[in-house]
Amino acid sequence: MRPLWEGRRVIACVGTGGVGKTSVAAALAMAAAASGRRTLVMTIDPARRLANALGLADFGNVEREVDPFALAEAGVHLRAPLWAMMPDVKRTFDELVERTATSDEQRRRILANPIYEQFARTLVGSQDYAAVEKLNQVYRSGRYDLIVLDTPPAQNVLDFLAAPSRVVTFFDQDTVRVLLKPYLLAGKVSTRLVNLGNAVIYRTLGRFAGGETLRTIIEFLLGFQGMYEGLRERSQQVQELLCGDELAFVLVGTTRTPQLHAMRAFRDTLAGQGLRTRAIILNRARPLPYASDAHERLEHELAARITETSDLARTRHALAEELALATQDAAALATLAHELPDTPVVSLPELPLDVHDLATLALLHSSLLAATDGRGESAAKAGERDRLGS
Amino acid sequence: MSVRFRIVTGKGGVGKTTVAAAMALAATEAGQRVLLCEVRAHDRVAALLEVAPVGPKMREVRPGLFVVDMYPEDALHEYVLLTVRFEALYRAVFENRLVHAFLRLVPALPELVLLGKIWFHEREREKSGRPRFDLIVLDAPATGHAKSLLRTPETVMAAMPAGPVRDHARDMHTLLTDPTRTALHIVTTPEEMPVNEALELERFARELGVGLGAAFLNQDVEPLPSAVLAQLAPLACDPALAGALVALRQREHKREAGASHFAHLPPQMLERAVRLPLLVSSQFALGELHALRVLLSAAVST
Repeated sequence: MRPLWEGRRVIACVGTGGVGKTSVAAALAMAAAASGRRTLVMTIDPARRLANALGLADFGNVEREVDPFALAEAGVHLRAPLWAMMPDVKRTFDELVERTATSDEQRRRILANPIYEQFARTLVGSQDYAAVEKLNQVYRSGRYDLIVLDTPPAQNVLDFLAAPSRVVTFFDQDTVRVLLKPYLLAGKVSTRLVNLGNAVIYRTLGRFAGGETLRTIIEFLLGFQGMYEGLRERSQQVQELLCGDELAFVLVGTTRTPQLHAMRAFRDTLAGQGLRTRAIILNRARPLPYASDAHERLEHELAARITETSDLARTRHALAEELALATQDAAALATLAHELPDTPVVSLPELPLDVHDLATLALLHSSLLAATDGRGESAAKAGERDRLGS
Repeated sequence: MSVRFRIVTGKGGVGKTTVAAAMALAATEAGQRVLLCEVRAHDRVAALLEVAPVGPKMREVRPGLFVVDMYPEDALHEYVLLTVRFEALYRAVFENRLVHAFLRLVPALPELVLLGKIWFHEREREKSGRPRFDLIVLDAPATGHAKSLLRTPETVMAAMPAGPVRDHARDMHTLLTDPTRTALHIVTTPEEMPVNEALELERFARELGVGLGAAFLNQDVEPLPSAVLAQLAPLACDPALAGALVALRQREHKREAGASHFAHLPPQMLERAVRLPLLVSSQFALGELHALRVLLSAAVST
């Protein structure tokens, strides 16, 4: 299989929560840097120890180089530097305001508004938006050959794709100009300025949200006057990047039923937007513990070696479970590969430990490199080899 | 009088929906009338319960078990009507495109609307005065979103001047922080991140003053008998069978690591802990839910 990053400058890893997206993104970035690409991995909310391993002790919203000597010790030899960063939602919004504000006065007024912080944190998709906004910034800096983006967990990939346009609609000045500004003026000057139809709207909204709330929000919105064009331009850039040829989507999931459903939905949604899924990575696949024709001999060995009858029953049960899980994984892999003849399906083996240090990441990375034929078999075999060797 | 509102949360992928559905099923089997609330779940729970897809409109999927998949945008209509009271006025005002845009700016409104819907159903009474639902189970979003959801009433109370929305927020906060009415159930698997998030949720619930119900330690694996791995060690030299030994070793290794993660949970959480086994099945559905239902029914009857 050609490397996943060939011909691309951004890889966006998408998937639901709890599938190991962050580890897979980090391992992918390692593999790219090992093959000579200057690579940045942007991770969302990694496990603290994984963050520490990558050298991300704090949420600084800035890129940090991963220590190449520590990586070499873990067995990964880079041919280009690897960087990591954690986008910080609030800081990314602050930077956005700094960049698009038309004056210092405006910038100060927005950042000081009590609703602003609330807005930056609670707007649906603000995490998605911060991720893509930050992505756009580093992408345009030209400092990296490849950026691997670990996206926030989502049930629906559309939430992620729609984040830029949602934020722009949010600041659409028409809302303020047409609907809300007269209210503010009327409140200050005279109700005669407001026509009757709109008056009903304000009264009702006021009754619903409280007049003071209405006023605070309007003031907040008016604070953004003049910035809309700048914001829209940025959002368009981000949208173009998300839908362009330089970005590839990689779906990350596991073979568990709900995640298989989610991945199919992701792929269909992407296809509906005219976007192709570059690859599917099935994480934590379990290799078959033994071939089916060895079953009888195994039974014989178990009975001969395990002396306690109750121990024998429990061991059989444990093995039957492992076999069932592995069979399930293999079946899921085969089904996906059959459904998607054009999309490489890569399976990564379940690792003995949670991925929280460079050594374990390195294991994941080598499994990824071993996935060469794009139909998953070799990755599974490599996983088996790793296990046998351990 | 037992708790009638139970919130299930935890890290993504730990089995929240499964636990919530099993909990709802347990109460239904005990003769209770139950409402199971999903949030933007895209019908996952329907597949689990082996029933036809359920949308944003509440439906009785089996006797005594009502399910709803809530989308805040849809719930907004109901919520505003509760406040404004006139359908015609609602149409005139809230179906205005610009008003729609404005509503997105009211801080935390979607979250408030979700809680408001549950609050409404929790207080709903029949003519006899009996509650319409004996139990409401919320299959809540994962840790981060669940925290902001539960904090919403407090945030709104702090950020908003007086008004109807603020009054509602206070009512919801009262519901959430009354341990005789509401319990939070944390679900975790024996892995590092899920356990960390369980700890985070436990702390958060105590700070906010939300009552804590049984914690579910999901996907718990039985230990292998201690002598077995040594007895099977010679299999390592048999190329056809070595994989079985590796699988058993790895299973035991993982189980031990998992047990040490669980050991990080505070004693008061372990006291409330109910262990749920890892269920292996190619089509995880109603049969598995029933197996779990039996295990957790005791934990939710108080």
